[in-house]
Amino acid sequence: MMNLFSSVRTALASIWRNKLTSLLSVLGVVIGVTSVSTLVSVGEGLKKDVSSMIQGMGTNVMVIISGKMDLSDPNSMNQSNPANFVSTDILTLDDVKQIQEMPDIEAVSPMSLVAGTMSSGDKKATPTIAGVYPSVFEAMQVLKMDKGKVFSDDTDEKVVVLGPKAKEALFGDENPIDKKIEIGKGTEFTVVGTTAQSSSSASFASELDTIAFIPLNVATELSDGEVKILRIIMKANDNADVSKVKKEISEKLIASHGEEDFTIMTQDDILDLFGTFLNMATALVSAIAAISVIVGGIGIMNIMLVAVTERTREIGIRKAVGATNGAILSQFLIESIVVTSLGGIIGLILTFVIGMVIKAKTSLTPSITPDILIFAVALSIGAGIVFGLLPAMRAARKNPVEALRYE
Amino acid sequence: MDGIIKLEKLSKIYHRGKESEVRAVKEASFNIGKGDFIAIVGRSGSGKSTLMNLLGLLDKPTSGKYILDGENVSKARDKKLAKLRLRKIGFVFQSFNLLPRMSVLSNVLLPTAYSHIPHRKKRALEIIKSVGLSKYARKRVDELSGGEKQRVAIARALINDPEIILADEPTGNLDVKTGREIMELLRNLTQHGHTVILVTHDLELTKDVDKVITIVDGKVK
Repeated sequence: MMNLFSSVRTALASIWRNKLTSLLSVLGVVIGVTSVSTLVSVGEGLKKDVSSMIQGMGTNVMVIISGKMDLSDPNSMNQSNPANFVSTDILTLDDVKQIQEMPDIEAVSPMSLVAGTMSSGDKKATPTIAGVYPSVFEAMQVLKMDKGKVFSDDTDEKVVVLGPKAKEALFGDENPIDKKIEIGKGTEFTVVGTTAQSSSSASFASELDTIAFIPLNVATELSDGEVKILRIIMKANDNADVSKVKKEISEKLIASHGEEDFTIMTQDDILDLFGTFLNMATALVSAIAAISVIVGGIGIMNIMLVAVTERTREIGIRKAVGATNGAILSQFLIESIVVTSLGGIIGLILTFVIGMVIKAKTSLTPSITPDILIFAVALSIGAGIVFGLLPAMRAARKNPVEALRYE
Repeated sequence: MDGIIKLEKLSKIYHRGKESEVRAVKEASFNIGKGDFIAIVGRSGSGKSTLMNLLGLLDKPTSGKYILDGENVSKARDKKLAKLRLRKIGFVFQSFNLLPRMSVLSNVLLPTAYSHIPHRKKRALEIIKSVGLSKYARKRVDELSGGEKQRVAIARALINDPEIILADEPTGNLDVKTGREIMELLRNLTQHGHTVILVTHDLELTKDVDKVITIVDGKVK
């Protein structure tokens, strides 16, 4: 039995002798490994971003949305009326009040959305205008005040806390506190505070920067006196059992609504939901990318078959000096594995390089996990075995007398 | 003298089509002793190449017995034949059959990839020296002359210290003077206990062998 070390050395020598051919044949594997591992690493990076963002929201934050959704099965969304998810007459102030009274709840705020454009003189901004209780700042600790203060709980005054985006658009570097702005057609608001730029680099976190907060009462007034609650945001005590609190809220709301027409999402739920979606997307795109590994593998098989024919005489010589069929088989199989493994290594190097470019040029941070490394190595070795087996078997079966005669 | 090779009615029949069959070797029977210098002589097409392939265990006989070093190998399987070739037989071919882009040393070491030989590199260098190629050990074989290549082939045949050296027209591609040197080298091997079997059509070469086996139309005379 030819030992592994000398097989690998022979393989490397023959790859080196046929540099161009080897490079071309391995290209498919390189592209396949690069695309699969780049995609997966971007997905992993997104997951990390999202989880750091969601954890950045603080501990024990929960959101209630209208519409029923089974969080363990994203497909179930298809089974409920999609209109429910944007419905504003399911969640009520009574719900908010019930939650407020629970001992484990630290802060709770409804959120309604108001349509309209903000303007200050001839400058305009289009932030998401949210009607909230000031306790939203306690519930979502990621929201930090930059200047000024928050309005009080039950005020009817037309005041606004601007996010950094709107503040920038309307006031630039000026101090906006106590300045007047207009929302919609001539309703005048006084700026009482601004929120700080979110610290997280995640693109989702920057969504928070585009929100402008107004008192819920004022939002109701702007909506012709109708209370329209899209979300309820709350935070349980730091040492509360979130899943228990979630269950209690759920029971209370089902009792008052008569049915489960809402969904309570904890940070873990959001994380799981996002992870499930992302895994599905990554798997799908990776499957497509994996096709290039198959195409690359077929290329390698083709070139190995040619190589076996070209090296018929060498096979004859090796058999004459005592190589068994098994030794020839393993020699060619190892050669093909070495070729595809080199392809895999090149692919991983490219993945690192592309990852650095993506990090530098976009807000995404690809994350190359050990799983990806193992997967890429297994993929390329697997391709080497699968596509090298037929040529290697053909080489091993050659008749030594005929092989030695081959010109 | 002990027999190293004993053939009993060894035949090889090739089927070409259903009707006609070609008997390349017909019931060959002879003995070869240890350390003999034997020539198998015949014209081209006489069956001497087939006989050599049978003796060298590259091909399997259709019928008859081949006793190699006391062991009947006529029905041995591929794996067994490869092992026997590795240990007991060294080949020297007319067209050298070296791996052209590899060094002299690598070519000589080739059989050791399939066996465990202690101090294989040292041994290879000694053998290369004994065939007069010390200076060329690191050179690629395609940079060598025909005579030098044949010396490399002989060195390769010797690396596993086989009982039998099978030389198929070893001087066929060489000029007369170089051919004589190679013959001298082969002759010397018998003095070290190797059995050398020379396969040739050149009667000139048979002058200094111990025994000549002539083959005509597949039959040993």
